[in-house]
Amino acid sequence: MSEPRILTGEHLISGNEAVAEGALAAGLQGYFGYPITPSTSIMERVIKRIQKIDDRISFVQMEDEIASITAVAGCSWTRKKAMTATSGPGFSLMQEGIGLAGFTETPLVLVNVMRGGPSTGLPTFPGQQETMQAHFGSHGDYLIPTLVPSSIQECFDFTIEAFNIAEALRTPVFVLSDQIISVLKERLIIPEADEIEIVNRASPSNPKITFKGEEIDVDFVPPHNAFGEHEKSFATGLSHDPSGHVDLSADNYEQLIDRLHNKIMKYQHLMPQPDLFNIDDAEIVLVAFGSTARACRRAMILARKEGLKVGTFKINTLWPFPKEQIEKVEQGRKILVVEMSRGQLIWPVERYVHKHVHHLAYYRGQIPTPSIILDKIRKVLGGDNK
Amino acid sequence: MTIDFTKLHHNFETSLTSKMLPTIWCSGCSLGSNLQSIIRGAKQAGYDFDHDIVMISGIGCTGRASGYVNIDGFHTTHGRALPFATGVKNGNPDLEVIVFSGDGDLFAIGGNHFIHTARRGTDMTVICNNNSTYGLTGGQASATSFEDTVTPTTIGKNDKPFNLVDLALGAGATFVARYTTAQYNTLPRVIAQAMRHDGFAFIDLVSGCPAIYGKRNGYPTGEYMIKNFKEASVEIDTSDPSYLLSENTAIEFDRKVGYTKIPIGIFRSSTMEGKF
Ligand SMILES: Cc1ncc(C[n+]2csc(CCOP(=O)(O)OP(=O)(O)O)c2C)c(N)n1
Ligand code: SF4
Ligand SMILES: [Mg+2]
Repeated sequence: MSEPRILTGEHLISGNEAVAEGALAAGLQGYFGYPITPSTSIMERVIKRIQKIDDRISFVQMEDEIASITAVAGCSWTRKKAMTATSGPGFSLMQEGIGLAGFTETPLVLVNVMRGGPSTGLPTFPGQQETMQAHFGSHGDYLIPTLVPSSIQECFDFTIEAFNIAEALRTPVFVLSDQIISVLKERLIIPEADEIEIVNRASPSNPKITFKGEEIDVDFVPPHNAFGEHEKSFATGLSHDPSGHVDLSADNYEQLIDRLHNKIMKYQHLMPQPDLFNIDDAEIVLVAFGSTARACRRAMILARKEGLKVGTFKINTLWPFPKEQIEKVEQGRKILVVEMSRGQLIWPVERYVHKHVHHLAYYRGQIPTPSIILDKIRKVLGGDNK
Repeated sequence: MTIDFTKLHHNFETSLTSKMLPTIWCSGCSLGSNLQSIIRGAKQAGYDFDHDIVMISGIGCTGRASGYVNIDGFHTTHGRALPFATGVKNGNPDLEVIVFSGDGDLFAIGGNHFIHTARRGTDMTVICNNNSTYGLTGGQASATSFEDTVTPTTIGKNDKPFNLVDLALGAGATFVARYTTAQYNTLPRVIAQAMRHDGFAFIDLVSGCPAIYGKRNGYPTGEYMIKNFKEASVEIDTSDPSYLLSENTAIEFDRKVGYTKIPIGIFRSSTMEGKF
């Protein structure tokens, strides 16, 4: 019995299942992975589904995460949409392949379902400790769009966005989810297939593509010359010229590094923008993403009942960081960063907020509950600067 | 003497990416001849260089080969040619996938990928330019360096080398051969056979690094090396099943004179249910 690729309708499913459905809806053609909690159910859902879908979608269980990300990149070079999913320890192993994929402009999607680290850490408990690794984990200068869902609907929507950004900008894209969202079940609405925007990367014969109505500039994002298409396609992880061949000269290298950065920044506005709640009259703004952003919104509602003027700045694209939006919000308001880490999200916020930033760093393998956040809000508004 | 490379011609000019020439390879190195054997093998097998063949390599002197042949190619990170190739073959099963990489790349840092790719039987042709050293980084010991040889990372003796034929047979490769650079007349035919093989095909292409490892260990020039390969090569006798025993497939080496025994031939060519 075959099933449609896109399961239009209403579902009650988990975040990981929604990620898998999002990938299928976006046009997934290859999955390569290695099991690790709490990401495994993404792979299992994909395998279960692809056996019932008529399209050819390859799956290989690889020997480790280094192999997984590298195979995803290889598959992508045949003009196929490919992905992997992992968690902390696997994300560390994937850093080498992430650098390769970024530098060779290989579209792919990597979902990292965060648990507590470091090392094997807290396999079954949540964390948000790969915030900086997503930006700086591999060696060298690079920038990879990083989407951070906080609901089951966003797990689905952002996975589709991730594939579209990957294809439009020829880049790896991360989806950073966390253990809580991975297992949380909520209502998911999957739209009709023709209501979902699907972007396919440009090719030499079809160089003009649009994403969200905007034409992608080929000077920033060269069309992909994939294998098997008469293009004598070549790529290397060494510094390279526009044809893909080795070129280690200074000017060429600098231009390449700049272009790879600029192509992401130029289209930052096409990535999910932050959600702002109750900002206008707020005295204090909670800054968070993922499952902590849910707790923050609840804390905000409780605080408002007490007459405290609280707003929430929910980050949806973590990298590139929503610099301009946070700069607007911070004026005349206190800022409180809430995260499941000893201090990572605070870094970019401190960089762009030009005053003392309050911090609720919660690293216990548990989410900070709304009442814990509310306590902190009261303290901050009461003048406690700790 | 300065050479004007624009005036030189090569038999396989159209098969090479001319703007990348000359190669980074030392004169006397096995690599030039080996790459030519691969090109001839692919032509014999009838592949169209414009669209149905792709070469994946890792990092090392050998790794640079993928940038020199005028076909689709990818120069991956160190050790990762096989997982990348796995992705390519799964993405487009119509492509003939050749992996050409070094012994360090395929069997030290990439060793785990090798046994698993062989076990899965993914349809590809893997050719190891086995020069028993890390050529690119200056001749350090590799997983196939011989015990009594000297390298900058040798203290006393090197660890025991892998016997790549034995390893590939054990890991489940369905086509396993070994030849040396010196069998340049036989190699294209064997490579063509490996490419047409439906499954995981492996060739241990015994090669030399005369500029570094050879200089320190008994074969100081390319010329000597080729002579040495010819003299040391022993065709296996497949009528006697004992040819498959580890001791009969092992390469022997003497630091003073170079190779003393290299069992060559096709060790396995079995049909299996191909993955694609
Ligand atoms: C992760 C990583 N570690 C180390 C290196 C340095 N390195 C480059 S090539 C090489 C060894 C190459 O040896 P081999 O694969 O036998 O190739 P050859 O140069 O002999 O052809 C090493 C260790 C690297 N590039 N990447
Ligand atoms: S260093 Fe050795 S392996 Fe590398 S090109 Fe020179 S001779 Fe060949
Ligand atoms: Mg070597």
